[in-house]
Amino acid sequence: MRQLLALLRIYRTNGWRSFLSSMGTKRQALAIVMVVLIAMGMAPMLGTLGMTYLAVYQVGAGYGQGELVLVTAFLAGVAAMLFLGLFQLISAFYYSKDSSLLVPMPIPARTILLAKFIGVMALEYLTLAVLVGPALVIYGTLAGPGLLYWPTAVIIFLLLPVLPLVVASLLAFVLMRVTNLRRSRDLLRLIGGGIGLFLAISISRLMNSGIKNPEALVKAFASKGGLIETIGGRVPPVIWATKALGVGFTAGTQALHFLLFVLAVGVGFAVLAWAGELLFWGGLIGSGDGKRRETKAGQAALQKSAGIERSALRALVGREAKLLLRTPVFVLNSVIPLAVLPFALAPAIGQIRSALGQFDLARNPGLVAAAAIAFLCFLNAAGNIAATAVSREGPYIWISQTSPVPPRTHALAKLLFANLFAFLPMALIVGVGAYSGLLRGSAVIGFVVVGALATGALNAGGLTIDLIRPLLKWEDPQRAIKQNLNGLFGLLIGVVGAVIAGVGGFALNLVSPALVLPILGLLFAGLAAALTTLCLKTADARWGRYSD
Amino acid sequence: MIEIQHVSKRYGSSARKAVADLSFTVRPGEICGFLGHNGAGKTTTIKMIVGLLKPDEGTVKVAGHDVQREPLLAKQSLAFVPDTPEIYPQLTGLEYLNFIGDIYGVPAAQRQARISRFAEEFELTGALTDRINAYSHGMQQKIVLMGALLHNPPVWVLDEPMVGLDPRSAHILKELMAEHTKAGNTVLFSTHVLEVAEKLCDRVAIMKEGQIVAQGAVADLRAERGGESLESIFLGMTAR
Repeated sequence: MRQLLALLRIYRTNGWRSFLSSMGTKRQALAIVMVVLIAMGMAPMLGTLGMTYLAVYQVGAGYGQGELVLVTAFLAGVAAMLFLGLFQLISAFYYSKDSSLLVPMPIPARTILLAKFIGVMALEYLTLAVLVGPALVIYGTLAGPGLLYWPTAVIIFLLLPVLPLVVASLLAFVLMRVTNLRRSRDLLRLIGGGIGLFLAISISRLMNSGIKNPEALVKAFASKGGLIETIGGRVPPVIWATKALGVGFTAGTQALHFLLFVLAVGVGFAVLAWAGELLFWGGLIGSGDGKRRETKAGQAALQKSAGIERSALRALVGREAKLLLRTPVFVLNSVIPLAVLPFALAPAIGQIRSALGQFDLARNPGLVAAAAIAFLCFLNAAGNIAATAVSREGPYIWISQTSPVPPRTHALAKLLFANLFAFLPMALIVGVGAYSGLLRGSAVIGFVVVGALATGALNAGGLTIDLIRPLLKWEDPQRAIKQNLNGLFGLLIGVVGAVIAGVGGFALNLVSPALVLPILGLLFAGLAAALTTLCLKTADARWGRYSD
Repeated sequence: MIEIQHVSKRYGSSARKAVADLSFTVRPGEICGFLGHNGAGKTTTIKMIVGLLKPDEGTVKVAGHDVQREPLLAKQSLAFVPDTPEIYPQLTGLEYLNFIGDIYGVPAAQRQARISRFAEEFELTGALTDRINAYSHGMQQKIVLMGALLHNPPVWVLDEPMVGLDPRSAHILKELMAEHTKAGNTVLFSTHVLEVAEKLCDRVAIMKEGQIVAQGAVADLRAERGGESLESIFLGMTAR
């Protein structure tokens, strides 16, 4: 226990300092102010989630089953922990720099493992607070549970990530033992991410599978606790957590299920410790080893490749592309979600068409294009290409900084690459739009032209932020794109762009459908010009200061 | 070739200056060894020479170009090797060198010839098409060196360049440095290996707490101090 506490203290200090540095400050007060600002920026998202949970609560409460909101939130939380946790755990268990220090020390595997596990769990509470917190507050405020509800809710909230993270840990152990991917950590994480996504989707499908049969659904609404059992039945600890808090159950039932839940968590920890002793060392030791692949370049390859001269701008754009596409964690965040998009949208296309059937879309191509541009703004920002472009250079930034190329050329290359990359979501939207019949003819041209201007503006805005406060101190590229606040700022800019396109398009359509695309085009062209100028000026001002 | 005039640098709100009113010159045809204990200010000075840090006061000139006022001309005139060889791990060695060649505008023929020569000398030809993340520390150091020397600039600024190199590669680098200065060019390099400095350098500069406490030809420094070895001079000068 002494060793575990010592490790946790170190992780806490190190984690907090990393957090401060990711905020671009060494001062706690400033970091707290920034967190508050970010929370305010996320307020609309939290508000939407809160409203959704409120609606879920009201539907459930109408049938005497207000606990529906709890089971829904708990399942969402568990799915998120599985998906996100697997990435974090693989990194923490097998690729953290402290492993080479800890392995030679007389510390049991389970102690190191538990310390790392708790470290990851602490990070996941932020996500859980967003996904589960509003539901606990809504239920606690509206269902009128007793005073015991709040401390019980806090304990359940704190223990909720344990079981999904234990499952993710076991998967990580098995992956490390049965695969020979220790040296290829990015590929391993790509596979881990795929498995996590599969598990998260499976949970979602399990939720839906219980409510496909109309008769079962009617029964679920009618019987006490039926909805909870129907939706969460395949994940018993979620049922136990819900029943431990639900006012619809007797005090005895609540206590029994609370105990069951706590017991399950205890068993989870025990399994983790046991599996850790059994599997952890085997996967960890030697993970830094490995032979270099020997491929002979030969003089011919050298002569061929080195015989081509390119401009500095072209070389920089090419480097951006290579570094993004060859770093699996960047691909996972920026490319894969786009590749998944058509498959995710395909089942819903029929419903979207019938829902939109009431509007005469053929007469409002501008409105359709504006809606597509709004979607493009969001997708483009979610890819995080521009808003993390400087951060992705990380410890290698010295190469760019010491090169005889003007800072604005570096910024221009990053912007150019981000704008070229934006054609990928654009092509996907055109494809899905054409397939569904929603986007046709002149609307496609309008969408492409105005969409390019919109993404140009948003990318310039995102890159400006990353030029001002890049996250350059990282050892794991995941930090540059996933744990980088600039990505969140970029997303917020994307949301603003989507609102301009969506709300602006709708308003202009009321005035005259013919005005929608020209006015939006002019607006985004103006924004693109202004933000690109700002971006290039920022590059000139900030480029030489990153080492200060 | 390298002129530093009254340069000072302080990090953030720190009370202590990392570099305090530093002035020195490295002349054409000279190899200058930059010595000092850890934290003496060597890397900070080097970063100001190559444009990674902006001095709070003073000026730095490389090949006659003010690093702050004419940064691009200054950067085009120098080769820099940092103290840690951190380069894009997802590129192959050859892709990295070609990228550097494009950035510095190295003509294809010169690029091919120099890559070929360096790769052969550093025994890296067979690994050029491997990704850099598969390289050992020493191999990464070699690729950084090759990239730095590819455009054949007049001024070389090398921060502990021998670290991680095998004895043969270190020997080749020393020969390259000597050859470079014989042609009238300049080399400034930091090192903790005093024997290397003693044998290789025309002049050494010893830093302590952000200031140069001794500089000159090794023979002159020894003569001034009654024939003491460079190690004894260094230890005496940098005693805390």
